[in-house]
Amino acid sequence: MDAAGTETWASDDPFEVLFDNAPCGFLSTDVDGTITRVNATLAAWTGRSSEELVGHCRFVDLLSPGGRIYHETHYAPLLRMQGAVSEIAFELLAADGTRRPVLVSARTRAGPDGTPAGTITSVFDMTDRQRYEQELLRARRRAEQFAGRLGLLEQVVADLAAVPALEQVRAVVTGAGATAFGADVSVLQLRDDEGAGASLWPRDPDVRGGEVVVVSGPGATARFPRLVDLLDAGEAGTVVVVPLSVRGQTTGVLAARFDAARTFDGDELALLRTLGRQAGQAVERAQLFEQQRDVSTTLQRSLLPHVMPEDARYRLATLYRPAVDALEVGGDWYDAFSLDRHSVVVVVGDVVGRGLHAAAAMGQLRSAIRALAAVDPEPSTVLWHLDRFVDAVPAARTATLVYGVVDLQDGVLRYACAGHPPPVLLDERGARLLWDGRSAPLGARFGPAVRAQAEERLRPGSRLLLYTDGLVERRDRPLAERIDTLAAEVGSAAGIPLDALLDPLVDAMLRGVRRRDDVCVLCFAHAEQPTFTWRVDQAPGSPLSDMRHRLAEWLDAQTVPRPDRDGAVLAASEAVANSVEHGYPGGRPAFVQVQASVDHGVLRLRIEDHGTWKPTPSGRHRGRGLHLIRRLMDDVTVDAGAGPVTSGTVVNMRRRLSVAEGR
Amino acid sequence: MSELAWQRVTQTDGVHTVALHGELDFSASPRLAAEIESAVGEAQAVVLDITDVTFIDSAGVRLLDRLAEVYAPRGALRVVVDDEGPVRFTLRLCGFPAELLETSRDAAVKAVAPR
Repeated sequence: MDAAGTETWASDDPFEVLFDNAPCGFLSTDVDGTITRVNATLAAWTGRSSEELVGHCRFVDLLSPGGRIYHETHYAPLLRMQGAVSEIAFELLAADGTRRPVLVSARTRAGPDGTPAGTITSVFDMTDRQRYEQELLRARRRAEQFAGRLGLLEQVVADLAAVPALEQVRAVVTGAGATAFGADVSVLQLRDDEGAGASLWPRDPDVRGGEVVVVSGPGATARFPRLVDLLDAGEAGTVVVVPLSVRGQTTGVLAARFDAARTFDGDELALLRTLGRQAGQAVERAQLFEQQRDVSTTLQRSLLPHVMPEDARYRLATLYRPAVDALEVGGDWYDAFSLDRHSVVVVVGDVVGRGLHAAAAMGQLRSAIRALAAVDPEPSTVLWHLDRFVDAVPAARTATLVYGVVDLQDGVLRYACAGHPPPVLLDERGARLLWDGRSAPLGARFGPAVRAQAEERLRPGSRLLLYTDGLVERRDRPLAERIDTLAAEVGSAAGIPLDALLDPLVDAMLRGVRRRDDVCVLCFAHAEQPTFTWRVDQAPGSPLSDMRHRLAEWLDAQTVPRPDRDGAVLAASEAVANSVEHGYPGGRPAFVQVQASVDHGVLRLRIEDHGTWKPTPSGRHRGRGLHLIRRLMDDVTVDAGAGPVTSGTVVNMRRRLSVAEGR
Repeated sequence: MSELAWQRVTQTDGVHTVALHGELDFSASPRLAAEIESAVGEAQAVVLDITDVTFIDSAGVRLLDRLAEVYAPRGALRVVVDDEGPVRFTLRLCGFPAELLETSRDAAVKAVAPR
């Protein structure tokens, strides 16, 4: 064998020197795999001398257990089959048990007769390279994680920018603690929060300075006892407190609990700090937004009428709902007012645009309509004057409105729509749209010289719905279709009590509508329930017994509970007595009319006379009657018409029945 | 049936008992007040039985008030009225003193009778 004479090779042979001292290992084996030659480098790696190896060991014996298996199952068969293998990774197991990662290449060696005579193998040390690769891998994993968190943070920032309200901001920020960092529980506490606030991080210099604090175990309880309590954190885990900072001020904290103790590297801490700053800004923005929204909503509501007329012959329901994310006051309004004893005006309108200009124009229009209607309530006349009015109030030009005046004696509605969506009329025949009486918006140059108006007789129990276009506008549907949908919704709400009508109706219309506008709705319910009417045409001194008996009978028929019935009869009697006794001091025949209605558990009385009202003409006696009335009824208004047009007195009173009636 | 009427029932030991029936409202009371006042004259005590009165308004209460002004300070007035019903309701509402009310005429007479 050629291996036999290894030792005899002269050490000064340059090839020998190269062979032994090459920076890689070499070995040759015979057909059995027994090592026949090995260089010094490889021998050193194995921790054995070449004498120990040559003729005694096989290459496979130098490998780690896993390597040996791989050698038998893959390496050796492959080598046999292909005659060569290259760069197979193995671990050398040294005599002292240390391992060395290596790359092995080999090829078979043929004898002089051409039959396999053994193998020649080269072994390269991979220690440094593997460390490098592993570091590379670790770095990559960290980079991926960081990028992932950064991506989540970017998402959080985007989410924060998209949500205006504070509650939404809270949800996004606490959600980020869990999704980006795997917190088990996270809470957001703001300085201004009620009950807790800044006491949760009492004078902690780090938190106040905007630094993220990571504490584990008992240290956390000692430092943030109330936060730990809030998080329900045990001693085993880690608590992270991320200050929300705005311009160097800590306005709150995001506190998170990690049930398994963990540490945070510099990158993670940097991300948490960024999260805190972003959240701080978002919270400030949200608080500001809500403040502004409150201001504009308050302003808008203050511009709408606070007192609606009360009358036994009709009822009113109104609704104003501001746009979801509107910061500026809108120009929508509704109004209703009694014109005289027997007519009432209802208006819904919409000034173009938002902001104070629109709101101011709306207020002016509302006042103008009241003033104009008092002089001449005809719809076309009122609109004609408004056209002139808006010349002086540019912000009110092209406002749209629907105006209606109802004669309460015959139920005739006269109305006009100036560029406004049509009212919906609901009676026992169903719901329909009042498309007549239409003309252009206020002050429109293309408008006709004479304004159109139309007439409709309101049947007993009918309802008239006026609204602004915010109720029907929807970008993905034609307006005409939406108006029809509204009519259908009103029709299907026929049996619903007036008090419970508008909110669900508006909810139904706005379902799925994004970025909706302001909505104003007014519903006029005409004589919903049968009304009691009685005239006392008699001279002072006659008994009112007849009126009392008939009213009591009528109230019985409405199933009004006895105490309410007796109270109402007494109140009506007192009011009529006042009218007869004091309204006609000259002893003229009295005209006194009593009207009563019962609707959804509310009893209304209306006493009208044509005499003169003197609150306390003869000292305390008259006052006692009124005092009694006020004790009997929940609400009493005395309208002593002192003008030249109206004379006499109307007393309107209302009482909620002690047991709500089904009707 | 609703027209107010009154009658003197008894007059013993200076106690005048007067019973009313019908509806005691503003139209009846001024006239009635004068009548009753002259009828009881110099009575030492008055029992006013309004058990059969079906309605009373503030003017009716005023009439009771005038009688109370004269007789109540010396404990010489009782009003007989049912415990329930619209009349009692109105008296309660007007704050008419409950100690002047009795539910039976006998009790009322006993309460004001001189000892």
